[in-house]
Amino acid sequence: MRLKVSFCNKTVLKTDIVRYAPLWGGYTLMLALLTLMCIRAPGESPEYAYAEMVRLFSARAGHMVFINGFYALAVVQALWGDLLTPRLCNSLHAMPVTRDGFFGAHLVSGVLFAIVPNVLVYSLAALMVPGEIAAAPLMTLAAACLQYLFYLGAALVAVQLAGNRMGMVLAYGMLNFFSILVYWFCAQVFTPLTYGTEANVNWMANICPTVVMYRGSYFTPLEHYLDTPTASIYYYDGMERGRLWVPAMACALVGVGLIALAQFLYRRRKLESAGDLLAYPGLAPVFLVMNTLMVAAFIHLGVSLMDFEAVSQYFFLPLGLIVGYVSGLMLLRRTTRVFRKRLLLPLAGILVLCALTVCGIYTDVFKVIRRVPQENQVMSVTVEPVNGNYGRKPLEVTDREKIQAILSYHRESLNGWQDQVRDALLQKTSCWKPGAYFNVRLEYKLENGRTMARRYALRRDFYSSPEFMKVMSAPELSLGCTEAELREKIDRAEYVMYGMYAQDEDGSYRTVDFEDRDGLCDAMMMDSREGTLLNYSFWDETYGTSQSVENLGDLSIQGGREDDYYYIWFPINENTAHTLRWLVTHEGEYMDAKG
Amino acid sequence: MLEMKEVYKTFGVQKALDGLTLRVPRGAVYGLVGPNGAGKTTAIRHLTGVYRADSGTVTLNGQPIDENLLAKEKICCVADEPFYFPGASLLDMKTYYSGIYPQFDEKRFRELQAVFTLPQKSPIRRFSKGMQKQAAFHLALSTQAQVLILDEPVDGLDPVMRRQVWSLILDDVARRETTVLVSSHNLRELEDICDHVGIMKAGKMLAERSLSDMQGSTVKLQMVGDAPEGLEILHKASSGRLNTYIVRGSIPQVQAAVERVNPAYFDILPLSLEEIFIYEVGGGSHETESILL
Repeated sequence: MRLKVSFCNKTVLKTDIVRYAPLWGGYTLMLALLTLMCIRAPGESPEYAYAEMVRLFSARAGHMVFINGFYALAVVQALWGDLLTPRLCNSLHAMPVTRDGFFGAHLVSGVLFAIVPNVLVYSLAALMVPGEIAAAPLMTLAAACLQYLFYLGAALVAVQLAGNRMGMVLAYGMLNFFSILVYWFCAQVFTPLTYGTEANVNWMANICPTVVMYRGSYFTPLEHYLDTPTASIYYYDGMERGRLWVPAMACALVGVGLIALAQFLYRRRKLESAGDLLAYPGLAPVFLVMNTLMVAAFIHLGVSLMDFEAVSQYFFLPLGLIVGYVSGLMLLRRTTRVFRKRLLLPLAGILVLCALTVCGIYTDVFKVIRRVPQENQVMSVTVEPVNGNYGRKPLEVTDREKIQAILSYHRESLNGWQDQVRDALLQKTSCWKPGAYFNVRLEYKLENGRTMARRYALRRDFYSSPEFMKVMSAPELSLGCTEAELREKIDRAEYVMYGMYAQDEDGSYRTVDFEDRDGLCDAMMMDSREGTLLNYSFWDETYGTSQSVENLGDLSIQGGREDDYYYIWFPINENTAHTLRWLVTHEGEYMDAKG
Repeated sequence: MLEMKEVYKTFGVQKALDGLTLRVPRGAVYGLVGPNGAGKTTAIRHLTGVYRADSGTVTLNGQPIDENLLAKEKICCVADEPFYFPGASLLDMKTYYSGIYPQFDEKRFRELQAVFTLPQKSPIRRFSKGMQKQAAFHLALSTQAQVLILDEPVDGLDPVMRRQVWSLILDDVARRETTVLVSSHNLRELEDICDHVGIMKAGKMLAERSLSDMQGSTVKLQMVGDAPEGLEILHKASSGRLNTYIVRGSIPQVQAAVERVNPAYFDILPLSLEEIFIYEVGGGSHETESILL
């Protein structure tokens, strides 16, 4: 008797298509309705309507990530449901169909269930919309197909790993969003403890396939306005390909790989696992750890959403871990009787590990937080303000005196850092919270070729360091341009305006006399060299870092057009003596200047 | 021949099959019996290619059954609780079966409609348990499979329909030399239809032979007085002066021995399958597991 090979059983395929007609029919209907919402009547401004439709289709291509994510889950739950229900599994697999035959038939059905409705709806849409934008629905179709391939592959692997429907949903969720959960867990639990260091965990969120396929655009309309003396006329110039195609194609390829993996797993699957949470008992520890972290992260999230004080979240952390572990154990063993010493021992391990990690970071066991490079190790330092109303142009400092000042600021920032972390967690003070307040970022280039980055909020004792104030007064940091650029910008500015709050209470601005443009630049640079050309963020008490300085007014410099347009805004106070004097000299009617 | 050889299967730490060996000759009606949890259903799921053995072989005519389409096409199983697609009618299921089983006989299906008078277009899920069982037999007998595997097959059928179903199955056996493996706790019924019996316990085959061999090798002797010497007595029970013995040997052998002592009364009876089962699996709390071994 020879072996008969079957990779797609026709009867199973036909049955799938007939049995699940309501599923793919509903999907088709939903797609049709959603697509109709993207179509606009051209009206009086057809070109604007084109761009609007392209924008809507582009947005739809993004939304299809979520639609396909749910639809693939539903399709796989329906088609491979026999693996998740013991009776169904035994009955169907007793029939003369090989596993490859089942897999192939279900796979073809699964692909058809999404591809046919998408092709149908978006092809019709391409016929319905004006020819100029017919590519938009077709590109949406292509994006949807790529996304669906990934989700189908992920759902297929999930269904092979799981033994029942709940297990499948959990496995699918973990496959798709585990990196987000780990990111969130790290960002919420560990990052607040890593004072000053740049523990960048964003990459974890960025490897989540849903994020990869959603963040950005698949295509955008190209448009421009033509200004005439009477009106501004809108022009639609076609479409521009977005940056999401490569990630979407990569995800689709991963999806194909996952489909192959799913078939491999199906061939090896023990069918008696139907009804269990996991089809492969060896994966139980992995599931348990993932579930523990997932539930802990969700409880942590819930607590923060309920606006508990930050420190409370740390009390909820062990609770979350316990709930996650015990619930995972209950799901695995399908009983609530899991409170046995032997079963709970790994939980103790997880709790101890978590406590050690939190304490280890808080006490800086590896001296990462407290590390300050030696002066002779530093080649240069790039200084960059973060989160303030700054020009955000980094300044590379090579001057030894200034590097010394920066290192001194670095060392001072570390004084009582644990108190700062604790106070922030207790919400006693807002002095330290990563990313939330005005920080100064330092990136050291070291002699050994390595770099080391830190960021600290400014401390009140910052003003006791005139050298460091001079660094922060550099035009790059306070104005976002070099001295030469400032000079050039002032020189060709259309307007240099100022307003002094005491005298211009109505908010009106006055144009500066242009006869002495170089003089204004010189005055500003003298302030810079004296360390007083500091941006508003340095003086603002709301950042919790500075002494209060009353702003007297502000100065705006603007010029250029469209791409060349520039705008420099700068606060004037009693410390910016030279600039203030220049203004006084040129108008002579303002309040006395210091110095 | 349908065969399992030295098959082991464990679920976690639990041994479901412990070196099970089973042989069902072609054209035989084989009764698979055993106490609850003996591993009968597990054995059936191996024979239908659902489960994979940890070790050992499961074959039909010498070919493996697992993932072997040609072997599986020859086997049809009627499960304890038959499965139908939700909302599917008998005609829908017929379409599915006719696509899956290459020898599915439409003519036979129509003929059987006279026996199983079931609604053809109503969802099977709405049928009673007995009607669902009838639908399962209707479909299974139409597949013209070479091997029919039946797990608690007539459970839920009324007595008339039971007789009808057995008659159809035995007719198939006679006409087409169909091999039938039946797992049931209804030993009285099995005794009427089976020609081979396998008794399982704790995942092992305790005894497997033809029913006539099984019944012929051990007898029940009732007599007044003690049993004659020389007989191998496996079990003794007394009620007043009347003693009941389970004795190894055929009826003529035992009769000859008893007649020599000329008791006031004696009677020699063949054992029923139920009695064999009880003694075989130790149900009578006696050391009788070796009766037939």
